[in-house]
Amino acid sequence: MQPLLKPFAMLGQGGVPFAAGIGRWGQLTADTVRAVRHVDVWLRLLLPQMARVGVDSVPIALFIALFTGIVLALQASYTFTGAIPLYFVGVLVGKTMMLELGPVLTGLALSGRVGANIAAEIGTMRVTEQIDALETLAYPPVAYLVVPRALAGIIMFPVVTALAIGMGIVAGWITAIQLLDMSSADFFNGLTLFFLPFDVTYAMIKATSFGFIVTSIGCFFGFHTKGGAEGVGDATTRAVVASSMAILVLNAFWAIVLL
Amino acid sequence: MNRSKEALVGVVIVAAILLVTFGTLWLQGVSLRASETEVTAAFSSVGLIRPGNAVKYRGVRIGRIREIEVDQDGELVLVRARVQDDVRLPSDAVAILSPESLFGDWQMEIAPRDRFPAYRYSEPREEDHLAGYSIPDISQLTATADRISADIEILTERVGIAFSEETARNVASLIENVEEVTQRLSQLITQQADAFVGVTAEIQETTQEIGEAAVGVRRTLDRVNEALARDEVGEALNDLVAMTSNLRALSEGIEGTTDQFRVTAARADSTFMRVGTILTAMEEGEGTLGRLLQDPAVASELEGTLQELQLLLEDVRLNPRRYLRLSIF
Amino acid sequence: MGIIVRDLHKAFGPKVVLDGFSVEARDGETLVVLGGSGSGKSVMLKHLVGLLIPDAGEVEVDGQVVSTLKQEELFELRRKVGYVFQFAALFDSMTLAENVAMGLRRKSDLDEEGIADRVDECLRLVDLEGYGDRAPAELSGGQRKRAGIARAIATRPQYLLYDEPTTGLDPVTRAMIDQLILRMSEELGVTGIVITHDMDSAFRVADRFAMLHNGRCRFHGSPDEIRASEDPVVRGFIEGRPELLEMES
Ligand SMILES: Nc1ncnc2c1ncn2[C@@H]1O[C@H](COP(=O)(O)OP(=O)(O)OP(=O)(O)O)[C@@H](O)[C@H]1O
Ligand SMILES: [Mg+2]
Repeated sequence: MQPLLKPFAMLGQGGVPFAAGIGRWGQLTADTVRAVRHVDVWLRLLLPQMARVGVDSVPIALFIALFTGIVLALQASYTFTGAIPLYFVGVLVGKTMMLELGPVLTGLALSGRVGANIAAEIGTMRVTEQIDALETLAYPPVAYLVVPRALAGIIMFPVVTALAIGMGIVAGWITAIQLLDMSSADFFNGLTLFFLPFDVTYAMIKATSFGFIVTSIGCFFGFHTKGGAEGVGDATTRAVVASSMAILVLNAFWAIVLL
Repeated sequence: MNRSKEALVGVVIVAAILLVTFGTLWLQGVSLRASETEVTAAFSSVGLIRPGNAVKYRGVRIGRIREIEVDQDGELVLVRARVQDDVRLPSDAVAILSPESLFGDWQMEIAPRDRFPAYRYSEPREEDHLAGYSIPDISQLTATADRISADIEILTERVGIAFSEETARNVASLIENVEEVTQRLSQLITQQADAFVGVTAEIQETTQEIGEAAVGVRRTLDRVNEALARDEVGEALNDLVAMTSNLRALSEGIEGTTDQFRVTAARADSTFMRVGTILTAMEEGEGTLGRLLQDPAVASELEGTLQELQLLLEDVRLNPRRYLRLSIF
Repeated sequence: MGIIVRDLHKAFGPKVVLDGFSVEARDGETLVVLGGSGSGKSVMLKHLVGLLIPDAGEVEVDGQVVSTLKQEELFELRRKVGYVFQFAALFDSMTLAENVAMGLRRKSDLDEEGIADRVDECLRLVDLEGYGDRAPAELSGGQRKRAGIARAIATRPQYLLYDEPTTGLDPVTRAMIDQLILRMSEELGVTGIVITHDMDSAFRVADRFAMLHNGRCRFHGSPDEIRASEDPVVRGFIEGRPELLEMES
């Protein structure tokens, strides 16, 4: 082969497994939807998973939102110096937290936390034959492992995102009145000025889809783990990378479809 | 899993639901107190108002726009707002839509009708709805100015042939006025250029057109005298009719945008009416063409209109917020 | 109805593991499968419960061909089968008692009290009384293995598949597990397949023997027949004489 063509050939070689991976992920998603009917299998597991996926992620999400809100307020006032009234700080903090940074940063943080956790856990179960053991005990593994995690993601990502957005706005507000010499009235005037209820819907739609994508990708790489400890590590890394990319792609998708 | 963890899941979910629900309601400005009432006003068009904008009474914010919809038969736009219950609105209250600030947000002001009596309020069908008037924004003004300049151009191409010396003199002063208006416009634009980048291009174009038209008028003036003898008056007359009706439309559009301007606009309106009447009479054969053409009043009335335009521009300069909007977002 | 393996083929990529293996465990019988390390015994066993799909050939358990079953039917079949994993495969997020109860929650109609009683009973049978609250990580390898056996027998299945149940246990515990396998077979009429390298234990529990060699069934017969076998591979294996096996290859 000509050396010049090599990168393209490599791209092609990478493309086939990638497409196959998407296909198998789609298969797992279809299986997951079908497995929802085994309510007796997953119902007991849902609450613990919601605690792990959601409650345990609240501190990190709030932490990120806190600093995001502060930075947004400061940067907004820096950008708008002069021609534009300061209440635009409120507009910017509110809009940005709701439409973009709240859902996306929370999603990315949780893809590291939750996605990695799920991939490592299920991957370990795979390589130590615990998933086989589940099957021999007549548990459908998808219903037992994937459904409660995916549902927990779908339910808890919006919850965590909502709290993060609230935190970001409060942080922006406190920054505005403490560091920027704005009045609360200014800030909230800006906040409400361009607010549409759809902003909240949009954020929640995004968070829900991120919740599903992160958990299902974590499960996917866990299920297809091969080898021992190294395989588990590998699956974990891939899960985080893939779900982060999926979040960004999905984010653009929603922006195109819904805005 | 122990009980406390389960409880924590519950607490977190409930907290998020409360946050979303009350946060949304609060940001929408829906007060959770029951002491609000709905006010509906009727408009012929509503400019840039939209749900969530402020409702004010005597400058005080008393509520928010909730919903905007076109009336069943498409004649009126109904704007519904929620306002505080404890504000006593006057019995003859009317609603006026206008820009609240430079940044695209509009407001609905509720006022007694006699505060701005000259506005052409859209009268509502239902008794408990308010009559409403929406202040035209700058784009309407520039569109009208556009038409005027086009008309002046056409007029000057043909008019040279139809005026007496005195009319010519009047036209000359009229042109001076046009030039002055043009200058003022460009002044205004340079002053505001920094802030209103978006709008200025539009105005600048219009100004240029008016300026070009004025140059055209001047050129034709040179030929006025020699053309006096010829008999192409009829065409010029038609152009004049068109022009006055355009100016009248302009004055209607801008009428009443300020208290002070309202008076001059009304005066302009009656002037145009009179010109219109005379022209109609002329076409019907009453009086003589010569009398009309030698009547200096026609030109001077045009001049009056231009003066009013100047006043308007002055007002634009002083209160740009009323007319200009910027679409930043 | 028993377990019948017919002409089973399985390869992982280029590596052929099973190459036409056939064997039968009749109803109520305990079949011991022998074979060298890496010969494919565990792979064969996994086919019996549908954890692996054969490349060719078929497996019949309880009168049903496993690879043709729909998911629901496969779960029904698995309710009748207990599987002891070679490396226990305990759920490490649960205590031992929860591990043992897992199958019961899914496969039996017992209430919580009944499940607790059964769990205690099964842990006692494998000599793990009082270990119910321990996590698998806190146990030794042998203890884990026994817990895996307890989990498999807890539901009192009709079929029991043991993948090296006694490897790594001391002689006393080993004898105890052999007793347990015998009791399951005698008292409950369980049809069993036992994979083992331990010949003492094999002769204690076996009704019949099979030997997996090079992907095929090298020997199939009763304990007396295997003792009398002249096949150097079989002799080499049960007497632990590698030189006999080398002669073969
Ligand atoms: N999932 C798999 N992917 C690839 N190869 C596999 C897989 N499972 C088993 N093998 C291969 O199949 C062969 C047989 O494995 P198996 O576990 O059945 O051996 P075994 O007979 O049980 O050995 P031991 O007595 O040591 O447990 C081995 O060479 C192994 O490498
Ligand atoms: Mg094995």
